[in-house]
Amino acid sequence: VTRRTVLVCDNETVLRALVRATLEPGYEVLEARDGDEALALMAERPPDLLLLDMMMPGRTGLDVLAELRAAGETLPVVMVTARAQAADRVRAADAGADRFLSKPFSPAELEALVADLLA
Amino acid sequence: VNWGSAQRSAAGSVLLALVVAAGFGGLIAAAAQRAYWLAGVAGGIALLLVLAFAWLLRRRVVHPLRELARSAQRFGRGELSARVDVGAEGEVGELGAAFNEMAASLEGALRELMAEQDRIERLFRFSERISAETDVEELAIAALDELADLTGASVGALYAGDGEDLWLAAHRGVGEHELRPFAHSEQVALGRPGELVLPLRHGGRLVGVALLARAAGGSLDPESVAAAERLAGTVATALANDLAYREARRVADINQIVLDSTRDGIVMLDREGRRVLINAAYERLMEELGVPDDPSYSERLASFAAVTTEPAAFQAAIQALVGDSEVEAVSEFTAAASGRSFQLFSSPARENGAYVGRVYVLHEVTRERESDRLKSELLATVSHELRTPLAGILGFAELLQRRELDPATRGAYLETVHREAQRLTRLINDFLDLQRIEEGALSLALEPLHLREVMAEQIELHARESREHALELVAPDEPTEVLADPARVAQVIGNLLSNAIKYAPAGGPVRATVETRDDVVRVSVRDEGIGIAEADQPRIFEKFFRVDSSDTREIGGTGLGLALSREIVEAHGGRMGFESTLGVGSTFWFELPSLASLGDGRPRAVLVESRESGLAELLEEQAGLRVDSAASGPEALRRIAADPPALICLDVALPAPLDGWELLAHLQTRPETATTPVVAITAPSGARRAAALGAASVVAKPVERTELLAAVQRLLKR
Repeated sequence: VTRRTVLVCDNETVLRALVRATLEPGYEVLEARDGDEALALMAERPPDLLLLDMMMPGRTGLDVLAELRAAGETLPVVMVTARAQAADRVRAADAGADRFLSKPFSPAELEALVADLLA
Repeated sequence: VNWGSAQRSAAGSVLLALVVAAGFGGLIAAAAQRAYWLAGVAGGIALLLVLAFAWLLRRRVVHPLRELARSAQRFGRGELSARVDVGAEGEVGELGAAFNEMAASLEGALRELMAEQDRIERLFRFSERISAETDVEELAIAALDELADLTGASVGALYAGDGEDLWLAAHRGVGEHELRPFAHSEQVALGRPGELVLPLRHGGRLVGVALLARAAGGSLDPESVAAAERLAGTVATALANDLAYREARRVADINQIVLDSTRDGIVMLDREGRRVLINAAYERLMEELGVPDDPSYSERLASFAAVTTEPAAFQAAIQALVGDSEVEAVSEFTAAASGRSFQLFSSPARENGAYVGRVYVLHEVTRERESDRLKSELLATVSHELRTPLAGILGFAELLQRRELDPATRGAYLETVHREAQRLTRLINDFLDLQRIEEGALSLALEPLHLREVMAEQIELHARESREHALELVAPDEPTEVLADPARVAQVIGNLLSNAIKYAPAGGPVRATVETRDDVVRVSVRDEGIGIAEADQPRIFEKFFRVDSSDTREIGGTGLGLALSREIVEAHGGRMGFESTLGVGSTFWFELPSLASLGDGRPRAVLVESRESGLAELLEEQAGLRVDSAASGPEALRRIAADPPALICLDVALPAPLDGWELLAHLQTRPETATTPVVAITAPSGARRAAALGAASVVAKPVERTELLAAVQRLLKR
């Protein structure tokens, strides 16, 4: 059985480490430190799910998501943000996010979310 | 032809007729010669009698009557001194005498009448002139001239105001320096013997005082004094009018000045939308917003609405107010072109309770909105910055709790939790520090310290952080003493060193320099690290700004270090900056005022008093001032000019020349001292005058020490 692949795109080292610690070894976890790196990696190895941080320096998660959806990319995307405002949820949904996860999140919640989306 | 010559020719023809008649008699025959001779003699006698009578008639009657007629004519022509020479006796003589008597009495009455008429005319002309005069000084000059003319006084002065506060409005024949510029009604005087003090009262209220005197001394003529007193009422009325006019004009001027100095645009429209009043700011804002000055209200409103981001809503909101005599409203709009934000307040204007229109106040809130925006942005950023380490702590703690982990993984997770908890603590501390500084609530424990020593300590501390970096201190052997909070300065220097290490990941030299330049001690830290791109340089002191766009957490830090450092330096009265080239390295520096440049740090005061009273010691010991004392006006001016003080304490009882009042007035007129606060020390009666002359605070004698100290401290805080 091949493991499903999850790409986590976050400029925070600790967040990428947490996602990896939570999801491995059930999933293969790939890391990208910013939007450009994520897009490059996806072209090379398309993941099954993308965990995208909304607030990154440079290109924001919203920009990256909009670009992906514009290119016809349909993979499930979870928008992760440290901003818990309702307006952000609306903007994330508008940009084409499937789910919304706000920091700090419980590893169990992340596990359930990923399992649900990849079921 | 006059009467006299007509009579003369009549008398001539009578004489001619008698001569002709006599000649004719001689030619008659001799026979009749005797009879004719007799007749001739009789004729001659008769002729002589006629002649004598004519002469007498002429002398006694015709001539006096003619005189009388001539005098009457002269009198009639206005020659009031014309009289008849009464040589005649009898009826003609009586007639002449009666004429003279009548003329004399007429002359007296007429002369009095004419003098009265002159006076009235003069008074009338004077009243007319001064009531047309709206300037108090011009009026005072005219009135003083008139009063001086009237009384023959050559020296005079006219004070205007009310009895409590009179000021010199005009003077003549006396130098201004001899007179008080301001005085109470009981103090006004020319200082000349026999001078006339003429109170000018209007409606029972004193509006001025006129002073008149002869240059040579001696009292003025009582009759002219009475005339001057009569004139005083007229002068007082005109003066009261001018003072009232001046006051009204001053109030109107002040209203306009207030209206035009406010930054808010103010316009008042009547019920028909016509502009009743508009201030300078409103006109300027309309111009800046590009609203044309249309002739009608509806057009203006439409043009105004058109420059906003929501024209329809704006127009509807304002339109709804037109004619509404009750509602107070405020609508906020944004200018489409500039993005500037405004609030437009509108409230009904009433005159004696009746609705007369609306007042609109246009208040710019661009900065407030920008600040609101920044605040909520900052809040979002802070929330983000706090939630990230929190996510690490909670997430790894949950994994530690829930999963069976090998000891190595447990150790790694625990370390992550610990590291993120430290990061969170640092972040909270830095953020709170920054808040405190921004609110001005950071208290600095200032003490003299050598920046070179602080730097040396910090270098020792940071040298342990990295083996790849060579930390070097360059500090010439010179005093680097400043007045600073040692912990805060160490925080700034530590921050610069740790940045230099962090942003030069490949290692290399970090050179710290501490040197004295003019009045400042300059600290700089140079690295050979990644440098800062030019585009990022303007934002380098922004909170949470980090130089490279990705993965900065590996470098660490809170993103607040530089912002906080700069705030700390500025709170010390210093400044901070940097130079940087991408790929080459950066030099961050700050400067603090050197201790030597600060003097002893105590504010300086000049105390002006003619007699030593112990106040200097009081101010030195209790108010923490450095006090320079001056015993006279001129000395005070010298001391103030030599080193401008933070405060002047002035006991107004100073000897001439340049007494305390004059000094106070003088200080207010000079630009370099006009803003220096003056505490005036005066008898209670002088308090008003001192305040009027510009004293920032007035302390009454006898000096209550706590009152003086409170006044001094209050003024120094400003």
